Amino acid sequence: MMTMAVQASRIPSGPRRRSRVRMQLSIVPLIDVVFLLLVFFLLTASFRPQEGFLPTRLPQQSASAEPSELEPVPIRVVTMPNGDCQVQIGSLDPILISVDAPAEGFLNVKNAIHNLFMQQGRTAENPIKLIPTVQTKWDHVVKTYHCLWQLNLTKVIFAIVE
Amino acid sequence: MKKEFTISSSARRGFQFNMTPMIDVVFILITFFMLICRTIGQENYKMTIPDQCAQAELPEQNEEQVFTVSVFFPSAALESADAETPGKDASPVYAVRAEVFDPQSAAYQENPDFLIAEMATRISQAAKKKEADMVHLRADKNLTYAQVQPVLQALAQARIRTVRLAAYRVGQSQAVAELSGREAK
Repeated sequence: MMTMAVQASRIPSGPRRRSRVRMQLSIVPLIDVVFLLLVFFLLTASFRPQEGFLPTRLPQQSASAEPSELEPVPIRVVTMPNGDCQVQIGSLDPILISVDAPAEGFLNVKNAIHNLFMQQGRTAENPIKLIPTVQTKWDHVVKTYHCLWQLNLTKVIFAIVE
Repeated sequence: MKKEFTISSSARRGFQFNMTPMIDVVFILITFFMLICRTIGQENYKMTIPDQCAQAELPEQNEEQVFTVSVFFPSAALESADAETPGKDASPVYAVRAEVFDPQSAAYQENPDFLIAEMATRISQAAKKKEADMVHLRADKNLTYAQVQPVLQALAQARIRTVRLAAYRVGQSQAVAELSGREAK
């Protein structure tokens, strides 16, 4: 009887009993795996330079489109076999852009377009028709469009070439 | 009586380094990388876009109503072609978001207009899904205009009003150098 009484007094009851039961989740392996994943993603992630964008508005294929009063200014862009680019604005002499110094060449294009618009009294609302050839590099098309974008000339028609 | 500070006494007090916030942060980082890297990879194919366009606009941070149409050389074509001017030999592929269209497949070679119509349909669907009227056009700088033209035709057919042509503001090598500089910082 005496022994049983002692045992009963040692058995905790209620919240005290639960507090003594130490159930722990081992998080060490979890942290190991998580860190490995983190290091993996950090090392394998490839970062790329931030890209810019040149907005352009495509002409819509609708009957309601009003024809422009002025003829669009044709700008012909040709890529030469040696990689140079040739840009002809309207009936002006073609401007040759060397593959070694494209920035200077396209600056000349920009100035020539600006001068033409000033001479002819055209505004930014007047359309421009960009006419590349089949072999014209996309790089040269975009750089020519960039010249127009700099002059706030956004009414550009991209010609369909066969 | 003088109270002594021993290791056993500090252990009894339960002096522990709290790992919970760190685990929270690490999990958030992992979730971020898993989700974002996947999204970026899907629509942003590896290519060399035109450069030296100083006035190109930078995109805003939260542009959700935009999707990407890409024209690029597949990696297999680049390996077999001249690395400097792959446009001469390699054939490009087109992608509306992550869906790739190969113009070399038999169906498209028989009827090239079918390729344009198919792309236009996908572009319309993507625009409807994202409620977008604006498209990013990413095209490799070494492509010819004839190779990009089908995409322009498909965009016009899909009645996409605004197309933004992707271009670096500085030279390609300078852009990469700037990026590695930022990473170093």
